Amino acid sequence: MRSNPLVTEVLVGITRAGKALLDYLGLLVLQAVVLFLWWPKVGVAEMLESQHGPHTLAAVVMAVGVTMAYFSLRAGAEEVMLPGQHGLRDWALATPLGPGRVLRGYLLGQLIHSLYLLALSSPLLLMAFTVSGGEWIALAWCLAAVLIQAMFYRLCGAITHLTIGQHRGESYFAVRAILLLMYVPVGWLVPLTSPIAFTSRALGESTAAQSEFASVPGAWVFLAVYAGMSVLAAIVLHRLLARARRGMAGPNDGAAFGKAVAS
Amino acid sequence: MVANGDMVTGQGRGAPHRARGLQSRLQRLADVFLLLALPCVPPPTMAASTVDIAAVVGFTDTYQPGRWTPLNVTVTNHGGDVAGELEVQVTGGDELRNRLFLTFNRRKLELHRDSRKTLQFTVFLQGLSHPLVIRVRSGERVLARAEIDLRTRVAAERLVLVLSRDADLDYLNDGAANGLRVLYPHPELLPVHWRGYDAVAAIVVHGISLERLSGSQFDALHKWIAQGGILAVSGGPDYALLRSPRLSALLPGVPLGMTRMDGSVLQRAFSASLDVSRPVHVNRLGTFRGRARLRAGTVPLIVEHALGLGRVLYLTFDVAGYPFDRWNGMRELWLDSLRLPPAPKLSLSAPEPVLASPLMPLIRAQTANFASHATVFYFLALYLGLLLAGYGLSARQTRRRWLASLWSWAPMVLFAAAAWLLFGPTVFPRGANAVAAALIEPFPDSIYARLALDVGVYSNRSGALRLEYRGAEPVLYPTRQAQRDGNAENWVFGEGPQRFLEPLDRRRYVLHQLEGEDVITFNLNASVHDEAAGLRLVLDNASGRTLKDLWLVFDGYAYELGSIEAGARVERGFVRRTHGLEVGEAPWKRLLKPPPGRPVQTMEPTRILLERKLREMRESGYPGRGHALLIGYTENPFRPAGASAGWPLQEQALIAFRVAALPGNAAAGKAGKGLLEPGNVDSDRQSPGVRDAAAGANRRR
Repeated sequence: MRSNPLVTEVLVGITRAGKALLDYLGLLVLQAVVLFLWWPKVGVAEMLESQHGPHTLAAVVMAVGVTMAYFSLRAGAEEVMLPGQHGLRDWALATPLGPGRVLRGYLLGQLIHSLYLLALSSPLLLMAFTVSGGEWIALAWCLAAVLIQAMFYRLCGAITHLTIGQHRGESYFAVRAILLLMYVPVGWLVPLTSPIAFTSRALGESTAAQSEFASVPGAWVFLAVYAGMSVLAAIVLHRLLARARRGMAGPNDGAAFGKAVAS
Repeated sequence: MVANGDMVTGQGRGAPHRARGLQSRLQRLADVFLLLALPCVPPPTMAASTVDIAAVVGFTDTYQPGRWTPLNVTVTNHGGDVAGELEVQVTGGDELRNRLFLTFNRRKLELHRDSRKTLQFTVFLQGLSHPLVIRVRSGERVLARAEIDLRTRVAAERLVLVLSRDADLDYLNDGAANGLRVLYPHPELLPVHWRGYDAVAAIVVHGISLERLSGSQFDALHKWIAQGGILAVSGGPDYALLRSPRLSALLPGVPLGMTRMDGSVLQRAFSASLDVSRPVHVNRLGTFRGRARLRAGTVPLIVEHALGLGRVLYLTFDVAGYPFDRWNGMRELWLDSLRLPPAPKLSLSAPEPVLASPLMPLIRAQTANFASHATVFYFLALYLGLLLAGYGLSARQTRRRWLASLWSWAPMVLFAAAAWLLFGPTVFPRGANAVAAALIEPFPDSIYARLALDVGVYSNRSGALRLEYRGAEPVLYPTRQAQRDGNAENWVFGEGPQRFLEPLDRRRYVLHQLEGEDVITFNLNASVHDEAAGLRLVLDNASGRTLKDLWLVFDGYAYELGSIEAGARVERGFVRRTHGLEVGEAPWKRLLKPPPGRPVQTMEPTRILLERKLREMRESGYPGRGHALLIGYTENPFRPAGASAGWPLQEQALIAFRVAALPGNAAAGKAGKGLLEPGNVDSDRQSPGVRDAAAGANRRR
């Protein structure tokens, strides 16, 4: 794993303080605020009287999911980078590494970085875990969803960067528009792709038995949809990198994305 | 392999075609065989026909709606060995408002080939429009299913059970409201739980021995009498039956032989209308407990003896023999002797509101709560602050790389561990909880006590909530409040190696509540003597449990007794002015303190339990004129067991023993019983025989 220089770069980068960490600390404050706001305001007896348990864990997991998706999009668009980390285009153009190896290292690095960010959020998750039911399987599913979602958004960010990255303003808005689009209209119209709905199903009260959550087809569908979309995005990214390597597409040509998809 | 290969290749060019043709013919033949074989494969429902279900509802297939009733289910297996479960589905609730709920009573069932088994359930049949559904399951597969139509088995009257081979007491039948219906059940089908006698007004035993009953059946009968049942035993020429251990333990006295009575003497005792043309033989009694309600000279004809809150009558003559079998006055004689109390109102039809459950206050007082917002805030601030400090440190100290690496991981590892310790299961237990509030009311003159239970289960995680329990065998039912509100849940009750209860609602943070009642062994004997010098209490705690924070309330005064250890016998004198706290009729409840180590809020469940009792005893008052009340705490007999033994239990058990105060020096120095009937001829004390028989029955159980 460490033989891939992109992975090494991430492993070194996460031990150094930089803008990326500071940015995520800001998002961690947001998660902490969510945890504080959703912390049970009444006692156990009152909860039993109302027959509604606390939604603390679901709220925190949703917050972690959204913030990590946002962070991954920005990281993909190279708005935030780890200290000493190089851009994807630099790896493709300035090194003899093949696009496949670059992509593998990029994805693995993203996974490691996401796990590190999850670890940063882990005290918050553990605080909410017991009061909200404490079902490890459901939490594991949700965290897996967060990771695969982050992967997808990272790839989307990278595609955005490779296609319109030279237009900083457009790239800035495109990154945020992707997040908004995927969370609000797509999530609303196709609930199976909604991470909010997924977390709500997994950790909410409607689930009769959370240990049986894995048997719910929606859980697999969500992961499969995001995995499928990630694979498609990875293929597009690979083609973009290959095209960039071959110098067949101009670096400032916004039509590269369309051509890469068409080919 | 090589040989086969040679053989195949040696078949020449036409061989593959021939082989293909043969294969095709074989396939067609196989298809035909398959089609022919399909009808021969029995579908699952047909396979289930090897198991038969037969059921007897109540007594001789007669039951009274709105009462607990026994249900005997006989399963016959004509096929191979069956290992599964027998399930009885009962529909309860308000049919008019369509607020129905289901209870599933389950038992393990193992049946070998060509064998039969009868299992008894005690079920609460609230209505009659929904049939009972009985299933035999093996895993998820239903082997047999039967629906029992209840509409044809209803009796509106109270039941009189006659256990006899030849007695005919049909003259007691009365179709009027609050009337009686005489049934002649087979002794082997009598209830195994005392609550199964709910619809029964009285039991008459004639010419049979109770030795035929199983241990649990006799135990159920004994408990039913202790909680207020009436047993009448007829004498006769075969008086040896009455000398058998079980009957002699219950009867006021043991027959020693027969006495010849002249007709005129009997006519004087009963009525002139009794047609007696020749002498009659009646059982001869020696000493007996209780009192003689009817005598002929010195010969007792009807002897009555109190057993707990119930009574046992011994009619020394043969009620089905000459001349009583043809006497028109027998009905009046029976009714006069039995003195049947009016039928109790069905709890749900009672107009008064049901008091709140004591479970919620118990949870409030005893359950660990969530960490406060302040704790959460400080924890989060510390964590984020430390991360920021680490960021600042590593940004400046670029030379010390190891320190930067440490700071990148140390806070999250440290705080993850701290979060688990401060907010995790060690502080706030994860999973299922049980909560039980009990009111134990010992019966006077009995080793038994009534146990009124409020049981609840809840969990802070979703999933199955199956509570296995021990210590009591209560009949359980959704709370009256839930039934009135129309939100009673569906439940599973089971028996097996361990009794269990399980709500079918698996949501977290939902308190699933039940009410239950039982008669438990709780041998507490007390006598209160109201003497000129003051009050004297003799208390014998043979209950096996320590009584804590015990108070004696009598005649507007309360006396503190403290703790009484299990097995202790105390005799204390109280002078009103010195020892007594003057209290009113109601404020005495304020005297009670929570058990040691419990917060003051623990008193709320006690208050609710006592309020209930006060409402129940509204007419006579509580403890009422001429009665003292011993009140305190003890350990709850209902406890999680088996797989649920580790469940946290929030519990409280209140003892309330109502004792009739004896004037002066009556029965001084003896650990007498609470109730001493006025006009007793002989000592009204439970004999060692009764205790031994009952204790033996409990040991067997």
